[in-house]
Amino acid sequence: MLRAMGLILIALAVFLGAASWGRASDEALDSRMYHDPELPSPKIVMALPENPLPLWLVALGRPEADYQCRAALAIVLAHKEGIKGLEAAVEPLLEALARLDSPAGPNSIAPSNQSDSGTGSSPNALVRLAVARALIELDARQTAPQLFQQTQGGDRRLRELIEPALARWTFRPAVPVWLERLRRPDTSAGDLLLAVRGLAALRELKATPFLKELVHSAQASWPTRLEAARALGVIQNSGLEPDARSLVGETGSADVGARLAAAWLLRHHQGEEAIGLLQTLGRDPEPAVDLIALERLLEISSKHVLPVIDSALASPDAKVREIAVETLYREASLERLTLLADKLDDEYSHLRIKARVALHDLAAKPQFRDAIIREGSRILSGQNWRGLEQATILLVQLDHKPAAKRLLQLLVCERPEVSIAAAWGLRRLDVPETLPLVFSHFRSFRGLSDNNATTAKLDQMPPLAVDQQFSHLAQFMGQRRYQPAEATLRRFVPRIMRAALVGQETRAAAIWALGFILEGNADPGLARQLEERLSDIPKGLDPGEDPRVRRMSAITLARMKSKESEETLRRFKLTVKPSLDPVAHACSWAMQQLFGEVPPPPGSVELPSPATFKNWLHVRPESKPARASG
Amino acid sequence: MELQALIYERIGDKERLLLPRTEERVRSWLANYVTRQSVTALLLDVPKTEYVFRGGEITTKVLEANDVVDLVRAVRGATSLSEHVRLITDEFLPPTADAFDGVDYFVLASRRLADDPPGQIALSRWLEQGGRLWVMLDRTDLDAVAGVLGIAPGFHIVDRTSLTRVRIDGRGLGSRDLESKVRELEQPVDFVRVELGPEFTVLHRVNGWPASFSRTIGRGKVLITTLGMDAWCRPRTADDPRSPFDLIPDVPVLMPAMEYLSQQFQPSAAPIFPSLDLPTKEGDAFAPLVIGDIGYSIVGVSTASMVFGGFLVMLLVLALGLRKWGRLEMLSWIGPVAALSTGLAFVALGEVSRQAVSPTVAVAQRIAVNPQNQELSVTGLLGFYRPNGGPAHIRTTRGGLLELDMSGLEGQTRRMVTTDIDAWHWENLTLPAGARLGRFRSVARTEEPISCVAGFGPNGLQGKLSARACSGLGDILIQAPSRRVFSVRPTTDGAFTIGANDLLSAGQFVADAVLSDHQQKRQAIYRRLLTDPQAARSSDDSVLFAWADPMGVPFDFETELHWVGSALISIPVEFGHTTPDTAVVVPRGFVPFRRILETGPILPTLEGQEAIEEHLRFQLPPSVLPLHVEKARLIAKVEAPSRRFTVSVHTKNGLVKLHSVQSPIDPVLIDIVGDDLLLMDEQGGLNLVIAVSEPPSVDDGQLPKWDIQALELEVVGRTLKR
Repeated sequence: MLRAMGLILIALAVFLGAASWGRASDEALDSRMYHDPELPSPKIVMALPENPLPLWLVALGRPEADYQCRAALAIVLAHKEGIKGLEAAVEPLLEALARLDSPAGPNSIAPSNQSDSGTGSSPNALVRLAVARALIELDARQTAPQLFQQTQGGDRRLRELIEPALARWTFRPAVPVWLERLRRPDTSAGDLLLAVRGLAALRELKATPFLKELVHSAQASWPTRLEAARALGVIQNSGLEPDARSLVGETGSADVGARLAAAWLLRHHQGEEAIGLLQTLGRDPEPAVDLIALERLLEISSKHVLPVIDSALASPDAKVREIAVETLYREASLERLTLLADKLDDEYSHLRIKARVALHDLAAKPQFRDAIIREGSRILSGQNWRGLEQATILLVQLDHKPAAKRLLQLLVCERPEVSIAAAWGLRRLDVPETLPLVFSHFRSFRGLSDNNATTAKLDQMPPLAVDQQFSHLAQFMGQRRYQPAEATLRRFVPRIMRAALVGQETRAAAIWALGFILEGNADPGLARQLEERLSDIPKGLDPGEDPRVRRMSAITLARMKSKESEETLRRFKLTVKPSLDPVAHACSWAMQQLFGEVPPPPGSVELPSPATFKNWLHVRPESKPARASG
Repeated sequence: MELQALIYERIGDKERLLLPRTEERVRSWLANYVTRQSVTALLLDVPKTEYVFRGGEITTKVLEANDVVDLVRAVRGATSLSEHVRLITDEFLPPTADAFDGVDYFVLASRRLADDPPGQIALSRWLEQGGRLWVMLDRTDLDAVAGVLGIAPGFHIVDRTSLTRVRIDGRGLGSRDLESKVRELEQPVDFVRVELGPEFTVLHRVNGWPASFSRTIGRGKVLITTLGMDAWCRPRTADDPRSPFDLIPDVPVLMPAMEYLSQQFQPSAAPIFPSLDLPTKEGDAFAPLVIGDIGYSIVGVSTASMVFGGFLVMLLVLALGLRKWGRLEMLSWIGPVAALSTGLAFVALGEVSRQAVSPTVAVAQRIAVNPQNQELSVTGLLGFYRPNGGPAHIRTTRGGLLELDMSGLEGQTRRMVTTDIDAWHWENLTLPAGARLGRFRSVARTEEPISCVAGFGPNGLQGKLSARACSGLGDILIQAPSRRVFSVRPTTDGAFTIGANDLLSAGQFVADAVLSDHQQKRQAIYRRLLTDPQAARSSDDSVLFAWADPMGVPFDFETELHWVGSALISIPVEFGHTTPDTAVVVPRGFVPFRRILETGPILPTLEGQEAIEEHLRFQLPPSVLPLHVEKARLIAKVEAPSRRFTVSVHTKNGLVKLHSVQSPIDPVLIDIVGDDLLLMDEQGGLNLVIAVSEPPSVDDGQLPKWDIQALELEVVGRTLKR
């Protein structure tokens, strides 16, 4: 039952998630109605299947390779899903490995009538791989010697699976094997790569001559040379400047591979020479090279990025520009604020947000605050929608009230990101002088008054964006208890509004706003309407009222002190059972406000894990499976 | 069509029929029959979601949408396939390649394959057996890809980034997948920057980095894209043509580059390895080889004719003699006795023929080598001969699949029972005496990899064949991108050099002057594989073909058998870069060419009736680039009676005529010398124009046919520093 309820809630949540488009565009654009009152949040616990490890261990002990594979892989999956207590599988997994190596093992392969031992596939190889994968997933470092032993056989796939784990576990007995591979000219590309990565992880200095040879080898392919350069750069954090210089050449190599290799060599270097080379590489026409060099320069000190800041800011690569923004933040000055503010208009949203957050943080320092407001206002006076959105948020967060005038203009901006941010900003700035114009804009909504130019513009906007914008405006009028809007807001209460496509977010906000406007003045007519909304639950094919509207109805009933609504509120309030239903929480809050009833603690709610567990072994493997055809 | 089934529970040797809940014994409609169509399977991650609790409101946040299915649908739509994409929702892939039998195209857009090593092996084997795999690198990890392509897949991920400005560059001059302008995307599109090894062919680039590249692996082909979905397609608008799918009107519109890729990689395209699939097993090109290896044959037509002829002659002589003797009535019993004797003679002949050959299994194998893998994918034809009929205990515990011809066994109730991964056996199978053919596939492992590495040098193509795992190598040849074949005679250590003298004439595939019976069969198979347009390879790779002793097969017949056979091995030639400042000769045949139209490159027109002028672009091997071309020689064999054949070259100053000949009879040899004539484009292409004129006059209005039988370019030059 609980699971069924959970599934219904998830379906509902998906619907709500889809309906709340625009709100997710920037987390900064909060809605006050969802925080006033702040309703308690139950803890969400993921429901996982009961630990079926004993069942899987039975399967692991079966002679069939199929069962053994599935058991081992189920352990991998279960561990990824967070099931506890799987460490108990390590010993049985090791035993399964040992059985595979035994010539009289349960599923050892019967000799063929042909002498060719390389004939056919081997289910044992699959089991080995699955078991090894499970041990690695369980991070069973104590099994490294046994796993290392497995890599000494001829199975390339086992080496590819196990050796990266051995490197991660810094298993030093593997070092001689890896070094030997570097020495041998006939080592396959795969084995060479494993050795290079392993030696890098263990920072094995003996590998450096071989790696240097590889890096400079014209015979090796660039993928191999780059891998060697990465490894060398990890093992050796000084002294590779001559190698980097020779790769780049005096005039700069035309080959991107060489410049990348040079940058990787210096990835952990410092010192004057390395910094000079990194700065040269940081101006490379290829952003991939810039990125490696600039990341290292930033790690050493953001000051070292300053000489290349112009090219970094102009880079076509967002990650390079991000380093530049980080540098401007760390090395902020009044002159550099302009450069940082320009990035409010960057084409990458995360970079715009990063620049805005940086400016916001810097504004906490008195010497920068005025300059940042000046820069924000400069961007706000422009026309680029990206900059307008971020500048709005920045100036509002800095509570720069003069920006409100410009925000009124931006309410009709054709980009929804800007018009929503402007409405949000007007609510947050809370300038009473803007209310008449805000109300006038609100009444432009089609169906609320005569059509005008603003109505036509609003018609061009995505309906969900208009819904978001009007929700903020309604909340603004509510928080300001703006009486002239009462009649208009009341029109949003009924479920179907004539001649207007009213969004549910706006309806919820209008009801929430009425709660403030009519605070302490219970209006029986409105209370009856709100009770109807609250009671409008799904019936048959009728989906019922939007949960946001029901929630705000309960809150407004409490704010109006409508004690006559007790029966309705009691009907939907929380029970002792923890619930995720926002309406129940709102009703409990209302009951507390009206009658002093303390709601039960939020508790925790179990929801099904998003994992499907479809292929898990659920049934004890008693019988030998057989599939017949033909 | 209805599939009926009985389900038994089997414990040990006992089995119990499990009855359905209804009263019928037989279960129907366990599987629906649908007409065979190309199947695209898509492996996606389960959409990552998290629960978000905001102000008492529970909501799910989708962290990564799986809208890639729309792109895959659009790709199918571009090749007139249905919108059905098989989404793989199982957490693990099946551990055997046989499970992928119905899949034509597999799209890997998931990271979860990294947790499934047995699934990786199965997918890898399916690929090597001829599957087509599309890896969306922006949606998967190197670990998952390495499980299929190997830990050194031939590329190195430099980093992952994202782009808001995208322009996908096409494949050189005249390519139709070139985008005319930079597209600006509001939402950044993921992009993986990779550095490629020589194994891959770059198809598209973005900002100089590979955006799509491909390579052949065994008999299969892999396409890797590094750019996110929104770069390959765009939302459908009212101005676009209608969606190819009625039920999905908003399926995205492919950008030109993806349009090209969808055409190139459509599952119905010619397979990379020549196919032998023919309507009947008797028609299989390998069948004569297998039957010949068994040595068993039914009584021939000549022998039967002789016996019948003898019977008739004897009957005639007897009739004449008895008539002369006046005892014609004796013919009433002599005739049947003679007929009976003839029948006995036939039985005796058949028995002798059958008993002369011991129980034998003959195999003809096709092995497409992936040099990075010591596990070989083996397919082929198996002939199983028994002089006596009876129960056949065919089984395996080492995988593989044997599709024995079951014709003539209708009405026999038999079972193929699968007991574990790679383990099955036949029950209640009884085979009559004689030979029975069957297709099979299996894997074989070698102690060391098989490879052919080569590079161009002053004497032509110099290389080394490493195939110590194969015994009895012979009749070796290399098929160049032009489809011409060169004979290869490696030294004991595998080294070889091929030049113009090793070029085999058209229709010749085995170099020896006198061919044995076996060689003749091999030559027939080569001819079938390498010249049949239906079976032709579609790529510009060079491939070494060789005959060898067969690898073992994993099937157990529970009887003492004589094993014979042979294997045809194909090994892709891996080209190493020629060191800078080296003289090189690129033999004719190794410079493929295409006709360039405004709409893009196409296969050239080499025969016709109307006059023609074609712009041909000859692509030099990437392994010798950059190259200073010192001399190029065009070799053309043209049959164009009463017409003028003209060759010109593009130069900085326009078109320059190189050669013009009326009604060419002898091969045309044109030496092109001089830097102004030997201008290469940025991708190493030499551009020539050939023209065949109108005939002077035609009496009956029927234009005579012209035919360019050969057109090849040999290039001499010196490599430059990269």
